[in-house]
Amino acid sequence: MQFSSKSGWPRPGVLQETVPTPMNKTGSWRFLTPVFQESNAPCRLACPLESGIPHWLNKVRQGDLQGAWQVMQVYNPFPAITGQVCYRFCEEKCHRASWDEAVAVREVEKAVGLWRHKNYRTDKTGQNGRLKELAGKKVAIVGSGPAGLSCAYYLRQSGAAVTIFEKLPLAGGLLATGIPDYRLPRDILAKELKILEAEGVNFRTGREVGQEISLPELQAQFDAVLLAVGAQQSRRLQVKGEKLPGVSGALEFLGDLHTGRRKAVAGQVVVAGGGNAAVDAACMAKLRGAREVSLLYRRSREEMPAHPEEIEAAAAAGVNFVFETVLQEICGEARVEKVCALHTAPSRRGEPLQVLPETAFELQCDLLIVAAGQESNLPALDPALQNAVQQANKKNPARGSLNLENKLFAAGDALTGPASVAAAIFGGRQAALQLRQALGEQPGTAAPEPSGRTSGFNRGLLPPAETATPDSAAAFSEQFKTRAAVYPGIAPPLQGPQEAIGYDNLNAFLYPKQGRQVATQQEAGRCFSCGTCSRCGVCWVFCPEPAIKQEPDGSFQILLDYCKGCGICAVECPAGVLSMEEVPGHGT
Amino acid sequence: MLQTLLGDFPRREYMLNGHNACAGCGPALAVRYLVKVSRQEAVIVIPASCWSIIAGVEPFRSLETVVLHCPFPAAASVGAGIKKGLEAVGDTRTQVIVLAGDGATFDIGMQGLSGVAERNEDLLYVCYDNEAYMNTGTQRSSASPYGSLSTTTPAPRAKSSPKKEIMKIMAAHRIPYAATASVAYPADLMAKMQRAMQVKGFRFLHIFTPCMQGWGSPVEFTVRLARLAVLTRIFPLYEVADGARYRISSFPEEHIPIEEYLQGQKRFAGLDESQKALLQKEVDRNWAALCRQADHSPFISDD
Repeated sequence: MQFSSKSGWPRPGVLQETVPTPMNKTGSWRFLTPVFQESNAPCRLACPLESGIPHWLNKVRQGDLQGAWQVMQVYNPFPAITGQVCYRFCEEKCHRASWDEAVAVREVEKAVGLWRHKNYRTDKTGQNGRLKELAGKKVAIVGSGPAGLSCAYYLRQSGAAVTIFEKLPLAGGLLATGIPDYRLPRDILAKELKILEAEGVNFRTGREVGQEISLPELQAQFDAVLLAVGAQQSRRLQVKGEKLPGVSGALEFLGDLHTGRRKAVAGQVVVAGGGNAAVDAACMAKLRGAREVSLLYRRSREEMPAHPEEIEAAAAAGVNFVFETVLQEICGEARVEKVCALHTAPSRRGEPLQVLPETAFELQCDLLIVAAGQESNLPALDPALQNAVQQANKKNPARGSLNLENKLFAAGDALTGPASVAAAIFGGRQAALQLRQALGEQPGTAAPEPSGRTSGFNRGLLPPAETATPDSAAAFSEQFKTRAAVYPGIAPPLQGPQEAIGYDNLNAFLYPKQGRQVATQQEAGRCFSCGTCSRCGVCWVFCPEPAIKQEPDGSFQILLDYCKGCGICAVECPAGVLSMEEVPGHGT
Repeated sequence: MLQTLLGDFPRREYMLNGHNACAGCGPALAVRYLVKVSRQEAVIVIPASCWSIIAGVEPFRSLETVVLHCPFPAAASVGAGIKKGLEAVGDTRTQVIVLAGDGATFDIGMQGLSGVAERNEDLLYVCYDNEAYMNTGTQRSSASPYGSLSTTTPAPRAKSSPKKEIMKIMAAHRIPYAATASVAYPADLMAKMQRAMQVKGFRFLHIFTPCMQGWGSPVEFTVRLARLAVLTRIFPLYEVADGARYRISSFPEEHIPIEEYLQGQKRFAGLDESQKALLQKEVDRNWAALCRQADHSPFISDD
């Protein structure tokens, strides 16, 4: 053996004549190969918006709120609103709840939305009007509720000229008139509308379609029309005395309060119904000065269709709940004076109701609010539309929005019946996707959802949308042309039946047990990132070879030449995106 | 530095891939972390052990630092000699690290180790403990735990004596720094290595490195078993300064029965319920004693 030093003695340091082991390709020892595949987080499947929650939580964890907004807006353009009013379907399913406490997704969402409100200017330079696929196309949207607004946002991003027709003098639909202002502060809605206006969306408030301008006229003037008229037609109770003055529908009552037509409430208020509208109306009546508010519901508290969060808020406000009770008659001479009610036998939702006739009792009543459910506004607009919806549903069913006929679309609650704000925003997003296609966009430009298997993590954390929206405005213009064509900036709906990743697949032991954090960034860091590579580097840390390498872009790559297939990375991965599989041609 | 869920880690690797360790090797993982801290500023002395093979059979090398292979019982003495030699030529900076398995530490190298510790030589002695002579095919060592099977303690005659308490032996030498670490807690391991590098005198690291081949477990559970060993308190993580002052590095939140650690390891297949209860009692007693020790004479360092 030759030593490198001329004197014949070894110098301190590595002997160059020895052979580094990397020439020994230990990958040939492997039986099983680590395979990278992302799957759905339970929060994403629970979300009406199918929001890629782990994606944007990861951005917040890194302190990158702009990046979080860029990812968020692909799914949900109004995080400030949903951050206030959403019922947190995601948090109910959060796997972290099995470990310590669910991640406060809604709070982080709100923080992202408020960041957007505060930093709108900077963010605008990168986006506004740059996409021109729909330039020169004119779209009319009827209704300025959450569905209409979200569709307007996405179409405006594509460069279409968007006009929103609203029959009320104020825009926002149910967000402005239906949702109590203690749940959605109106300055947040106002800011959201202001941003949309700045983006170039035309608002025509006080213009009722069917009165001042007819639907065929609209269709003639615009390239496409979206009907996002909501579901605000109150159902009737079908009891005696319903036409008396002093009887109001829940949404009409809430609308009157929010638009200022009704200034205050006084006396004894009775609310009939158990949905969100009933509870909201009862709570608002109490907060606006009613002496006593009684809410009558025909079944028990557990059976109420209203969200438990709402019920708790109403109970805290002092609403008096009377369960297992139905209205029998509304009495009064010139206006409502009292109501007669009957108790019912305990029953579950969906079972027939059994009334107990001898239990009749009377309640003093100055104002009766009826919330027996709402129906779509579509038939009121044009009776033929109901038929068209059924036809379209048979021919080409889709969730959230429908192509009724050539260039006429419907979306949101108008189609689905009363649902949630998030579901309505989803409907608007879906409608925007369909509209883009109908307005002559090349089909098939939407990038597929991440799927398939690789041994590289090169796709990793990022949804295709994120690669299409670079962080800095400077980089944007260069990359825009190639990338915008790849991804439309609107998340496509999940296809087919989806299964959420199980809790067993995660390695919760890597997370210290801790409750919710006050700081947004820390709270986002509590996310397990189920089924979504967050580039946390745990696989790299625990590889004994080391056969995992980080690329300059932050993604990880498994060096299959050296991986012996021990599978520690698959066991330790906290997000459960790695699994060990037999791959033909690898090892023996 | 790479920010990970587990802490910040230097990106640069000083252990090369393509080495000869088995798949899922605990000792390979431990040394990967160690050399990230010691970098190239150390001479590593390796007696006969798994790492004799992993570091490379002539002419291979898998560590990007100077490695000296030495006879089985001589590791501590050879290390001390190298350190004296380096000092003689004026190099006070280069660290000498002895990297020995449990056999070379608990059994064969014990007298050399004890001598070096008593003389307080400026040496960092790392024992990677896989609880048997794994390189030669799983013969029991005095580090093998009670009730474990090996080729020299085959079923039904599992090892009947408990594991030798090496940390107590080292503490009895009153060396400046001794610590236990586990491959499941790499940030803790590297922090202890860092601390050990800064101390002058004899330092001892006892690292828990599961060997899936020898223990009879699926290879992917190396880190999981190492973590369970800490969580079940069978291998607590702590530091000892000057042989007297104790600090526990990690307090497991809940009391997980050792059954969870034992199951899935074929070497414990022969244990019956009464033996498991005995083992559990022993673990609980040791943990209580350690807690008392840490309460009684705490080790408060500057960092």
